[in-house]
Amino acid sequence: MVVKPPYKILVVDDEPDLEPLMLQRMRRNIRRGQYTFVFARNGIEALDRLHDEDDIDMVVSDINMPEMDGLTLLQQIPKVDPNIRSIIVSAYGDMENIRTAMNRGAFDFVTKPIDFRDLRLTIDRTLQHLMEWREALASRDQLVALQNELSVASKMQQSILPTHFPASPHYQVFANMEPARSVGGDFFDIVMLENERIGMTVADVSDKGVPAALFMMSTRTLIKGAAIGSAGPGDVLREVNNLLYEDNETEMFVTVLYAEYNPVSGEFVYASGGHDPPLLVKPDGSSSTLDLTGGIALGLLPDLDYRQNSVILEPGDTIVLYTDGVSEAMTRDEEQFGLERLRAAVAADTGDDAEAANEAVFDAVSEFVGDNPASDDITCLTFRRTERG
Amino acid sequence: MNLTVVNVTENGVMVVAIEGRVDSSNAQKFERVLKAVADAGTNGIVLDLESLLYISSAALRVLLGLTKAQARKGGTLTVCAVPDSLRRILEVSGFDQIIPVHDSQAEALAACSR
Repeated sequence: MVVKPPYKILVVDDEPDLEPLMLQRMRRNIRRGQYTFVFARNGIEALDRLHDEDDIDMVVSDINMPEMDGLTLLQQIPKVDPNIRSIIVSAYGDMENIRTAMNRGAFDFVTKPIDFRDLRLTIDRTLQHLMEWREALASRDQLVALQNELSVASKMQQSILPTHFPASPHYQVFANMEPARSVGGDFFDIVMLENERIGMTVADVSDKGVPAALFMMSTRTLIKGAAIGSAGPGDVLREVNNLLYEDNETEMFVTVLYAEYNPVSGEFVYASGGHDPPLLVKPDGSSSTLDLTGGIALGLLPDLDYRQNSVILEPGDTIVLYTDGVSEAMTRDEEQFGLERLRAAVAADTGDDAEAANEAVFDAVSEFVGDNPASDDITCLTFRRTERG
Repeated sequence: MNLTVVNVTENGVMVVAIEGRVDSSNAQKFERVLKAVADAGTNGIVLDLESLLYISSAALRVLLGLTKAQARKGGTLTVCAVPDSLRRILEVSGFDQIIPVHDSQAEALAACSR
């Protein structure tokens, strides 16, 4: 069953003011026929509505409510319909509850006070996922070929990538992912944190297909959740590793490079979970590979500690995060692109434009491999401290 | 990809040489063959990677599954003679902290008998 808009969203909150506010702030989306809203004041009322109305697509729920709270509601929703997706609304930095919500199957979360632009993006992303998911279910029901499943997985993969990049006088950031035809497991993400800090993720999941795409989605959401209110990248990876390990029976794993930049101090802190270390390129074109922090890929073993490392970025310094799809891109003669060519590509473009520098990497890879089709996803994120920054 | 059992020691440790590339296109076959080796009831498995050209993350998953299966039945899995380029993959991904890596077959077999 592939459902067309408007999508019906059940909003659960005990705050009576939220209903008119939501209708007011989402009025354009309602008028355009994208969303319709129904409301409930607690978990019990929400379950009643879900039973009565079988066309509700997703739930946006508060956590603290009388009679039945949001976390209990999350456990009950799959019993009504396992294909409903939920977004949880939590207090900023309330990692404890966000974790529990994620473990109970919440798809994503937003923090209070609600930023409606962020909520809209989160709703759209969740609906996008929901459509891919339903398509996947439909094709599984019809037993269509594996290739079809891969195309669904690749759409799911594309749907979680950010399409907007934050604008700041202090830095520029840009990233892109070019999927390989068959294998796919890369993603990147950007999270805005407290005190103008920015969090950046580049990751590579060990498998392809729909299960890998779902693993990728939970990794992305868990990193976002852990990043808010964490003590730094090492802490984030430790937390996400444990969460991924908990219900991972498939030996699937993900390599992650997670970093945070503080524009006030110029400090760039990063930690690796089995991922290639960042590349630092100076304005004069010289470059170096930052020290490997030595962490193991996430999802393999529990209770691991992840070391973090930091460097102070000078104005004009560029950091490049990438996946092995870049360094191991191959010509027909099986020659690899390698780190030296990556350094050269970034060093050749040390202007103020991170997007151009990032595109230069993709151009260089594409020119290098020629007509040899990519065997792995190619992901590259370029972060540059501006000359004024 | 080619797997060959090159040695079975007196105390039941099997040495398997892997040649060629193991990637997502043949990871399932790789898994089936290694499982068959493990089910043959050996006390330990040593994988000689000297002629292995490439190993993808899908293949690393197979090795991890095998490591866990071996641990459950009290056996071991080690790798030896890892080419430099692959050694880097094992180091960066952290797999060298999960699967013991030895320089040579002799060293790996010595470790198994300890």
